[in-house]
Amino acid sequence: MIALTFFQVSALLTSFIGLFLGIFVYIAGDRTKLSRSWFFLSIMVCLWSAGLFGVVYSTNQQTAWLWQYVLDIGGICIPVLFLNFLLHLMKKEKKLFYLQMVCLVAGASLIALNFTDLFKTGVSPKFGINFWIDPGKLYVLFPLYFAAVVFVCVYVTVKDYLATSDANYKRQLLYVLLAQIFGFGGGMTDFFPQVFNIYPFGNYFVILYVIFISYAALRHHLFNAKVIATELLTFAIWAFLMARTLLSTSIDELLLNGAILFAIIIAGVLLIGSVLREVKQKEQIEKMAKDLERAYAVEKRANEELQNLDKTKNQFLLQTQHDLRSPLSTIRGYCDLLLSGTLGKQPKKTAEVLERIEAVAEDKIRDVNNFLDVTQFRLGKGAVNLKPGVKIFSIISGIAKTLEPKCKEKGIYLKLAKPVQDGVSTIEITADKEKIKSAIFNVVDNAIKYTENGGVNVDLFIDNQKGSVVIEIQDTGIGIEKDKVSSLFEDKFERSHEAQKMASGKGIGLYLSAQIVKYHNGKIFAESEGQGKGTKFVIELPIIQPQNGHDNLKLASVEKPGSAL
Amino acid sequence: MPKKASKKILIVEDDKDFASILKMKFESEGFCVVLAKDGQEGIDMADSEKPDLIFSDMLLPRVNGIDMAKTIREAKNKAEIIFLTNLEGASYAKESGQSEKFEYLIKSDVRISDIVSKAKEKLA
Repeated sequence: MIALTFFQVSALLTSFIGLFLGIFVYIAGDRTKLSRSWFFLSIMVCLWSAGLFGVVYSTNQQTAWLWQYVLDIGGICIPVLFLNFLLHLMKKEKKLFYLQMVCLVAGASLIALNFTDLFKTGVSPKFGINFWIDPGKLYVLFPLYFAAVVFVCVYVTVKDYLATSDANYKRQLLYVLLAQIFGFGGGMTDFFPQVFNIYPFGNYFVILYVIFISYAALRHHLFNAKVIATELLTFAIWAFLMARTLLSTSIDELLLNGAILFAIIIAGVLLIGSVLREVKQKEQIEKMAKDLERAYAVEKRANEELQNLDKTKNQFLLQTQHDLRSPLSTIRGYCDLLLSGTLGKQPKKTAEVLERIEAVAEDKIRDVNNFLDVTQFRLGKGAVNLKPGVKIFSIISGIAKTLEPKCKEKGIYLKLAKPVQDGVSTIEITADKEKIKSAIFNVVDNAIKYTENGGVNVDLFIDNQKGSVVIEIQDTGIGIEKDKVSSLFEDKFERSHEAQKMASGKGIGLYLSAQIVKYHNGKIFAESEGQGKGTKFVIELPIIQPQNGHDNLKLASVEKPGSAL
Repeated sequence: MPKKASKKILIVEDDKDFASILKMKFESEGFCVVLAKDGQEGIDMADSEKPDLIFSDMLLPRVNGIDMAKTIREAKNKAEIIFLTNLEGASYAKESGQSEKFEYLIKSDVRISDIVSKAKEKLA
C-alpha cells in the first residue's frame, strides 16, 4: 500500500539528507559565510528533491502541479547557490561578484518565467511515473541556464584546482568537483524526459554529491570534520532505516521499522549533541591555550625588558664605581707617596693628617670595591681569581693590624690567637688573595661594629680531616637570635628599603663574604647563643681547590723564570 | 740594590695622576722611568727606550694594552709586561682570551709600594 518506487525513495532521501546536512553544518560549524552558504544550498536541494518526490508521488494532478512549482524554484536556485558556495570556498566572492550577479539575475528571471505557461503547461504521467512536467515553449531556457551556471562552476573549480599549490585545498576542490559532476550531472537527467524524451535515470546520482562533499569535509576539513562524521554516520543509519520503513510491505514490518527508526533518531540526536559539546569544549580549550600562549609571550617580553633594564642598571653601577674608585686610588697614591718619604720626610702633624686622608680614602675604596663586587656577583661575573700560595695567616694578621686602631678608638680588644698547631702560620691555600682578604675583613669588621664591650678574638686552625683551614671570629657583642642567624648572609641590598644607606656599600659586607666563600667552595656560618651573648662566625676554606670543582675564571699568570733580566 | 746602571721602567698609563705618582715613586727608588700615554706610544717607546720592565694599563687610547703587549712580544722585546688594571680590564682580558698570557695587578687592590716591590722582584 505504501510501497514506494526506488525513484521516489531516492528523491525523498536526497531531500532529507540535504536538509539535515545543511542544518547540521550550520549549527555545528563555525557560522562562517561558507557554512551559511552551504546551508542555503542544502535547503534548496531539500526543497527541489521534496518537490520531485511530491510530483512523482502525487495521485492527483492538482497536488502534483503545486509540487512542480517547488521542484522548479528549488531547481533554479540550486546552481546559483552552489556557485555562491564555491566562491566562498575559494574566497573569490568579491572578485567574481558580477559573474554571480549575472547568474542571479538569470535565475530570478527564470523564477518569474516559471509562473507563466511559457515555462510549463501542466503535469501528466510519463515513463510509468505518476506525473511529470509538460514543458512550455520557453522551458528550454531552464536547462540552458542550468548548464551554463554548472559550466561556470566547473570552470572556476578546475581553474582554481590547477592554480593552487596547497595540497589539502587541492583535494577539497577535487571532491567538490566530483560532487558537481555527479550532483549536477545526475540532476540534469531530470531535464531529459521533457527535452529529449528520455527517462531521468540520473536522479539517483544526485545523492552522490552528499558523499563527495562529506568526504571532503571529513578527510580534508572542509567543515568541522568530527561533527560531520558523526552526523553522516547517524544520517546514513536514519536514511537506511527510513528507506526500510518506507519500503515496508506489511503493517507489522512498518511498525517494527518505525519503532527502530524512532529509537535510533533519539539515540542519534543524543550522540550528535554530545559530540557537539565535546567539539565546543575542545574549541574552548584551544582558545584558552592560545590565550595562555599569548599571555606567556607578553610576560616573557616583559621579563626580557626587565632583565635588560637590570643589566643596564648594573652596567651603570659598574661605571659609577669605576669613576669613584679612580680618584680615590689617586688620593691614596699621593698620600702613599708623601708618607713613604719619597718627597722628603713630612712633619709629624702633616703625616698624621695624611694618614687620616689615606685611611678615609682606603675606607671608601673598600666600600666601593664591596659594592662593585656585589654588582659583579649579581651580574654573574663571579670573578674570583684562584691561585695557589696564598698565605692565609699573614692575610688575617694584616687585617688585624688594619683594624686595630678602630678597636682602640672603640675601647675594645682585637686578638689574633697565637697559632698552636704546627704549620698554621705558614699554611698556603689556593684562593683569590684580594677577594678572600675582603671576605674575612668584612666579617671581622662586622664583629667590631656590633661589639661595645669586650672584644673580638680571631683564631685560625687547620682541619686536616676536611683538608681545610678554619677561621673563627668570636665576639662578645650583641649576638643574634638563633632563627635569624641564617639571614645574616642574605643579599640585603636586594631587599632592603634602606637602599640609600646601602649605597655606601655598607650592610652588604656579610653577603659579599658569603658569595666569595661560596666561590672558593668553602663554608661560612654563624652561631649565637642569643641576644647579648656574642656571635661566632666560622669560615672554612679548602686548602686545595677541587679539580673542575668550579668554573671560576683562572687568571693565573704564566710566570716565565727566564724572562726577567 | 747595588749602584750600577739603574733599571729602566716604561709606564704606559693614560691617567696622568696615576702615571705621575708611579714615576715619582719609582724615581725615588732609584729607577729610571719613561712614560707613554697610549698603546701606540708604548710600542714606540718599548722599541726606542729598551726598558727592562713595562707596567701598562689595559684599556688605553689608540692601541689597547693587550694589542700593544702582543706587538712588543712579536718584536722580540724581552721586557716583561705587567698590567696595572681595574676589574673591568681584568674581565676584558678574560673575554679576549688573553688573561693566561700576562701578569697583572689590580690597581685598587695594591698600594704603590706593592707595585715597587713587584718591580724589584722582577728585576732582582
